[in-house]
Amino acid sequence: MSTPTVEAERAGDMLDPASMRASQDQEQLVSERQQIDASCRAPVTLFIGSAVGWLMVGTLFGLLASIKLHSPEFLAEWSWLTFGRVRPAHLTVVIFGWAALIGLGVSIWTMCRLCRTPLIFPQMLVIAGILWDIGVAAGLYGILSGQSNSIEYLEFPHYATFLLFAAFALCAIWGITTFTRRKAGHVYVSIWYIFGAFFWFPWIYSTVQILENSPWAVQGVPQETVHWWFGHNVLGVLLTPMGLAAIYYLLPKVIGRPVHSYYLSILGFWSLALFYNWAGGHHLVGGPVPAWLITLSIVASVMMFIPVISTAINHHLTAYQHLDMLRKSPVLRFVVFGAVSYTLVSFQGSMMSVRVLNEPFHFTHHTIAHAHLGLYAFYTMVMFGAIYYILPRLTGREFLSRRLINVQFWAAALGITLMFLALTVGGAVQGFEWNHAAEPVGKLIDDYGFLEGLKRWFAGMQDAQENPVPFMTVVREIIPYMWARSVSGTMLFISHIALFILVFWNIFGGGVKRTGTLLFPQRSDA
Amino acid sequence: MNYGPLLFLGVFLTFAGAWIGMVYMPTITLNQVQATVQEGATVSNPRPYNGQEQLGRIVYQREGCVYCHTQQIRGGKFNNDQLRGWGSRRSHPQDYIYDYPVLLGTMRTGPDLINIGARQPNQNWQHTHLYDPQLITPGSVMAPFRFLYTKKKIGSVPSPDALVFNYVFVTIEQDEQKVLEELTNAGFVPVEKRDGKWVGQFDPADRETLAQIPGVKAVEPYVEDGYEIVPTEDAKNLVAYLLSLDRTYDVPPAENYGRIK
Ligand code: HEC
Repeated sequence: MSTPTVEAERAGDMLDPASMRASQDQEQLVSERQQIDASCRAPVTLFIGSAVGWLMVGTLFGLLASIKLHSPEFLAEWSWLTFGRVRPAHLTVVIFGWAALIGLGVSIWTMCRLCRTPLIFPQMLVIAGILWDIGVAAGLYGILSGQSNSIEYLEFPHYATFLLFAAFALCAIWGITTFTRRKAGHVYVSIWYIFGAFFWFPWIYSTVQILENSPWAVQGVPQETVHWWFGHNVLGVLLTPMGLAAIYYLLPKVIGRPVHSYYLSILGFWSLALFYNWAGGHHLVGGPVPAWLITLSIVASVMMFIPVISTAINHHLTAYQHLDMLRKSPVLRFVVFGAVSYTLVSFQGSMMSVRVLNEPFHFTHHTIAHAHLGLYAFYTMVMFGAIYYILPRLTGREFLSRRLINVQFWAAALGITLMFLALTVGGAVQGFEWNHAAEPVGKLIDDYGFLEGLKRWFAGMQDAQENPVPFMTVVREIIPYMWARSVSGTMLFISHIALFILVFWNIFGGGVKRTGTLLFPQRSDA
Repeated sequence: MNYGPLLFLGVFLTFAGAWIGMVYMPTITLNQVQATVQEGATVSNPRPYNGQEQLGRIVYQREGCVYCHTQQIRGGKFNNDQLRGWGSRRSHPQDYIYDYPVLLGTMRTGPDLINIGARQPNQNWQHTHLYDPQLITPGSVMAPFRFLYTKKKIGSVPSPDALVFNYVFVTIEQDEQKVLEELTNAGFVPVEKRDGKWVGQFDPADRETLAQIPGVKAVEPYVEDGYEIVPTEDAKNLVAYLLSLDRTYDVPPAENYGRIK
C-alpha cells in the first residue's frame, strides 16, 4: 500500500515556518506537538469530517441547480427541489457547511501549532462543532421547506443563524484564548489572519442580521448596501484570511524553507485589512445607490492589487524554486494550485470592479465563474491540501491510497478549470449581447467562420443598440455553456467522492497506522 | 508584530473605518428618501403593497425567483435595459422604500421584473407562464411552478378561477412539414414539439377541425377533458405581487442619489 505523505513533508515538520529555528531541542518539540495534536484530535477531526460531509451535500445541490439551468423539467414536480430553493441550498451549504467549517477546523489547529499551546477544554469545541452541524442542517431544512427569505448568503432561518453564531463565537473565543496563552514569542503571519477572521466575522454577521434581517432592519435600498458590504466580506474577512493563513503555514512547512519576506507579509496583511472591507459596493454598480459609494468601492477594489501582489510575490517566490516537490507532495500540489488561483482571482476581481468591465459582466455567469475561482480554485483547493496535511497527524494514520488522492486532485483541478472557462465565456457572450453587440455571435460565426465572425461581433459593438439582441436569443445561445458546467460539476462531484472515501476511511480506522513520531517515520508495514 | 494589543487595535480600527463608510453613511443618507404623491393623485409613488401582494412577495422569496430575476433598471451609457422595454428610466431608491427585504437581484437568467406588472398585466398570462413557461416562451429555461397549482376533476360547476388554456397537442402521422403547414393555415400556432407531439395555440373546443386534416393522428386538449387547473392561494398571491410591480411613474432626476432628500 502506498502512502501519500512523503519524506519531504516530514522534514518540513522539523522546522518552524516563522523562524525556521533549527531543531536543537527536537525531542521536546516533538512531544509538544504530540500534546497539541492530541488536544485537537476530537474537535478538529469532527470539523474536518463534518465539513467533508457537507461538501458532498452542497455539491449535489450545486449539480442539481446546474442541470436545471439547461433542463428546467428535471425534477420539477417537487417544490423542495425547485431551482429557486436548490440554488440557495447549494450556496449556503458550501459556504457555511463546508468552507467556514473546514476553515475553522484548520485555523484552530494552525493556531495551536503556531502558538505552541494545546487547546484547553477541547470538549467545548466539540460542542461548537455539533452546534454548527445542527445549524447547517436546520438551515438547509428551512430553505428546502420554503422558509428562505431570498437574501443571498442569509437564507437560513433565524433558528439556524443563532446556532451558527453561537458556534462561531465559541470557536473565536477558543482561538483567541489560545492566542493569549501562546508560548512562542513570535506571532507568525498566519496568526494575524486567523485572529482577524475570528474577530471580524461575528461583527459583519451580527451587523447584517440586525440591519437587514430583523425587526430593526433599515428601510429600502440601504439594506442592499449593508448586504453587499457583508456579502463581499464573507469572502474578504472570513474565508480569504483563513485560506491565506493556511497557505502561509503549509507552504514553508512542506517545502522546508521560510516565507520569502516578512515585510511583504506585513504589507499584505494590513493592506488587505484596510481595503477589502470597502470593496463590497462594486456589486451594486449601475444600481440605485449613491454614486460616491460605488466609486469608493471601486477604488478600494483596485487598491486590492497591493495586498494581492505582495502576497503573490511572497507565496510564489517561496514556492517556485521547489516546484519539483509538486510531484512528490500532494499537499503542496493543492496548496500551490490554490495560491496561484488566489493571485488570478484577485486580479480578475479588481479588474471586474472597474465600471467598463463591470457593467457588461454584471448579472451574468461571468460573476459565477469568478466566485468559483475564488471559493473553489483558491480556497477549497488550499483546504484540501490542509486536510491531507493535518488529518494524518490527528488520527495517526496514513491515507488509503495515493492513487485516489491523484484522482481527487485531477478531477478537481480539471473540473474547476472547465467550469471557469465555460462560465467565463458564456458570461461574456451574455454580457456583450445584452449590452453592446449588434448581432448574436453564434449567427455571425455560422455566417462568416469562427475568426471572422468574432471579429465582426466585436467590431459591431457599441454602448447602446437601437435593436438589442433579443433576450431569448441569448438564453438559447448559452445553453451549451450550461451543459459544460454540468459536466464540470460532475467532475467535481467525482473528486469529492474520492475525498469522502479517503477522509472517512482515515477517520474510522482504515489506512496504515503510523508508528513512532511523524519526524522519524517507521511504517508498520515497512 | 509580536504585540497582541497592537494587532487587536489595528484589526479594530481598519474595520471600524469601513463600517462607518459602507454601512453607517449610506444608511443615514438614504433613509431620508420618501414616497412622493403626484399632484391630484390619491396614491403615493410607489403605492404600498396590500396584504395579498405582501403574501405574494413571500412566495417570490421562498421560491427563489430572485436567483434568476433582477428588479433594477440600470442607466447611463449602458441603458440597453431600457431599450429592451424593461423600463423607461433608471431605478431609484424611492422605488424600494416599501420593500422588505429589497430584492435587487444579482443574476439575469430571466428578464428584469421591476415593471412586469405594467408589461404583462394579464392574470391568465402570468398563471399560464408560471404553470408552464415553455408554453409561452419556447426554449425558456425558467423553472415550471406547477406545484403551485392543483389539477382536479371538474365538479358540478367549473371553478371560477380555473386557468384557461387555449392550447392543444397534435400528433402528426407523416409528412410533418406539410401537415404542420396545413395546421397553421387552419389557425394552429405551433409552439414546440414535446414527446413526439406538437403543442400549440388553438381553442380546444374547436379541435375537431384540426383532427380532420389528413396526416393528423390525434388532437388532445392541453388539459384532459373533465379536469381543470386551479391556482392555489400561493399562486394567486404571487401573481398579485407580480402585477403590483409597476414602477413606471416619474421620479426626481438625479445622477448622484446620495443628494436626494
Ligand atoms: C431558472 C431561472 C428562473 C427562475 C427560478 C424563475 N425564472 Fe422567471 N424567467 C426565466 C427566464 C429564462 C425567463 C425568460 C423566458 C420566459 O419568458 O419564460 C423568465 C421570464 C419570466 C417572466 C416573464 C418576463 C417577461 O418579460 O416576459 C416572468 C413574469 C417571470 N419569469 C416570473 C418569475 C417568477 C414569479 C419566478 C419565481 C416564482 C420566476 N420567474 C423564477 C428564468 C427564471
